[in-house]
Amino acid sequence: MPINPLIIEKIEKLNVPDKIKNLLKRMLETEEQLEIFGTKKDYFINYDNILDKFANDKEIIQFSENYE
Amino acid sequence: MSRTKNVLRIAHVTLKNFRAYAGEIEFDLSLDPSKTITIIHGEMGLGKTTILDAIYWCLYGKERSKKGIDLMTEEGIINTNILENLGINSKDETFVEILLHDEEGIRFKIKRGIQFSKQSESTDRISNKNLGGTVPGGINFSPYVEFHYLHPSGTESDWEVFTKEEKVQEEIEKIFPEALSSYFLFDAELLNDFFLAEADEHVKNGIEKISGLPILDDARDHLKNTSRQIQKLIANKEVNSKPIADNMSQIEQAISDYKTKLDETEKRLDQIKSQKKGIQDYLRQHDDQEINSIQKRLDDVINTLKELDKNKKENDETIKQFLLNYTYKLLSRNSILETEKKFQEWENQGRIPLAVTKIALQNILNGHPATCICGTIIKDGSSERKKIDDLMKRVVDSTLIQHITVGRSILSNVISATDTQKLSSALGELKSKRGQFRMAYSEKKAIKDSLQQKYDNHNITEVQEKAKMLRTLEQEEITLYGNRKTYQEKIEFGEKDLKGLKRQLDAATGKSNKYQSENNKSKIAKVLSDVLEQCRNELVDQLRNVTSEKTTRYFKKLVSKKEDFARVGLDKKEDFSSDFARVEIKPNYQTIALDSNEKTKSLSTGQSCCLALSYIAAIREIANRNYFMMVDSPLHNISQEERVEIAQNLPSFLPGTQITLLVQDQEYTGHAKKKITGQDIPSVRDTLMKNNSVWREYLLEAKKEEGNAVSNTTIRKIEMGKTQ
Repeated sequence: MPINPLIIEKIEKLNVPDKIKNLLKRMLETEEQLEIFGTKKDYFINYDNILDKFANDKEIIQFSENYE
Repeated sequence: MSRTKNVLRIAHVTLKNFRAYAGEIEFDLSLDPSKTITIIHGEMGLGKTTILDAIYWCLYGKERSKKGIDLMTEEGIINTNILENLGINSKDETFVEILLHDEEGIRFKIKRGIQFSKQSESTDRISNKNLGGTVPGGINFSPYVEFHYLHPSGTESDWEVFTKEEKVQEEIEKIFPEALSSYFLFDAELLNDFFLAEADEHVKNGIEKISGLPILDDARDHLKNTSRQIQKLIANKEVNSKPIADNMSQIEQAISDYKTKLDETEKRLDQIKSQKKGIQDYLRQHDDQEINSIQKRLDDVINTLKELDKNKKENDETIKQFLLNYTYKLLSRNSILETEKKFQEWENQGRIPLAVTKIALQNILNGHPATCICGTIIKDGSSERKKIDDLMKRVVDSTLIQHITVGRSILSNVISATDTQKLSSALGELKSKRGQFRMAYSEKKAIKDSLQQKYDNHNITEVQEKAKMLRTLEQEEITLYGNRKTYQEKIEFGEKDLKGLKRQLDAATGKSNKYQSENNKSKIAKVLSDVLEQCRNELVDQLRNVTSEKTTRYFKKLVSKKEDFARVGLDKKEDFSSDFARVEIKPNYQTIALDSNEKTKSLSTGQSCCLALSYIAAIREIANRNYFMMVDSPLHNISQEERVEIAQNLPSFLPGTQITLLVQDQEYTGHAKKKITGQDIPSVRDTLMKNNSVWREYLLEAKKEEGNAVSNTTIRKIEMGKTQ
């Protein structure tokens, strides 16, 4: 399902670092792609790959540690 | 591209043998975004609602919910006449096919049908829920469904087809959630149900679904699951790695123990080496060979000493003889010197005859001729003869001269031999030799004494003990070397095992950095999931608020005309907009109109219709979807003014939305007059035509038979601008 602009707008307004916003949008785009190609069951490998790139990102790690 | 589209319009509908429609009928709907309305009208009972039902059935494989249906009396979805008149071994089918376009062209084709064949005559009537009612016995029914999808880049031959019910439902649910079917297949006759029925979680979920929240929900759930899976993987690796880690720990402990033992062994070996060296040194000094060597060297030294002693003694003797020889000579030296001096004096005085004997001179004179030793012939009477004769007279006896000569020779020898310098030098030489002998003797004596001491110190018992000790040490050393080799091998093998286990452990847990990264990933995924959850909750509230605002806005716009009517004489009580405040959407999406006192306002049927349309328009707006909308009986049970209001506002209300209105002839074409003024109120048709909103009109027609339900409805396209 195409991403509703309201959702993107909501994410943009979140009080989180831009990196987190971009990561969230990327996750939603991934979901869109998974749906298009009918490969929802492969979500783990896709998410895991994306997370791999940010596993050592200090800003994101710090945000994750401080988030409650 | 996703199969879900923002704009979807029904391009074509085909029905065959569906309820009132005998045989195949088909019609097109508007694809024109500027003329969006298609009108299907006819008299009551000809099958307008059946069209809505047919499309619903095509999409979801079941009939729309109808209260109070008695399957035993209800006619099924298959045309009754067709079924009743089906001959034995004959077959036919019922189907509904809809063709859908998006903004780019044809995209979906959905066909659902039931093939049937008569096997035998039967008077039985069978109630079949799937067929929507009661059907004759003796007939076999085979339902089927086809979902065709054409990718935007594909050609007509590239349709992707699904025929399994479950998969088809899955695909349709993505596009048209059944919970929201009321928002595009809108039955105005069921308005009460629309608002009065509790808007349950099903509808709420449907609205959220069509608003695009599922993508957010999926991302949230997938992130949460990803976080869990990563944690699970880490946990599994930890579980898998525990035996390896334990094994490694044991091996590390064993290596540590072996290293300690190795250190102790090395230290002991060093001690043994040192002890051995001491013993070996001792034995080297004390062993037979060494003793023999000392003995031999001692013997040599003793011999040398003896030789030196002999030489020394000889030297001493020589000195003694020397002194004895020269002492008396030295004592008589002065007398001899005086004697020689006297002889020299006498000689100078010529008082000592020449050392020529008388015999020698006689021999010269007796020669014939007498010849001197120089060859000169000495003649008689010559001067030479005369000299010789003279000499003959003077010379003494030769014996005397010989004694004198011998005596002087002895004196000369004594004088020469008793030269003090020479004697002193000779004596010095002798003394020097004696010193050398003594020194050499002394050195050799020291060596001899040392060797003698060594020789004397030699203790065979101690040597034997030392040798035994050495053998013990050597035995221990061999054992320790063996142990050392064992320990080294154990350590080497242990370290090899450790490396292998380390690799296994790395493989099981990942390297420490990787392990940390995995934890980070899990944490990030969890937090992102939580953020999306928060985002979702806020969005749901936001969607509801936006829906309220938009519904209120649409509703105000739609009912505003009422005020105009009020001005022209309607009862003030009917002035709805005067105290209408807002529309509230409850958390479960139930919709109510509130007055300025926040009290629920009661709505007329027309107002309910307006509110429903407003609500639908708002939902469509927030859902970012512009799907077709088919409305059954939108003009039913409302005043002519309200019909005209809706007709006037509908196109602007739902811009670009394909609208199909299923209306009764009278409600569509009928005129009315205002009660008080008598002013003519135009028909809905005239209003729509005036606004140039209608793309096409269809008329339903059928031959009605007294007492029987219509079962032969057909559809006829009406040329625009003409009356039917």
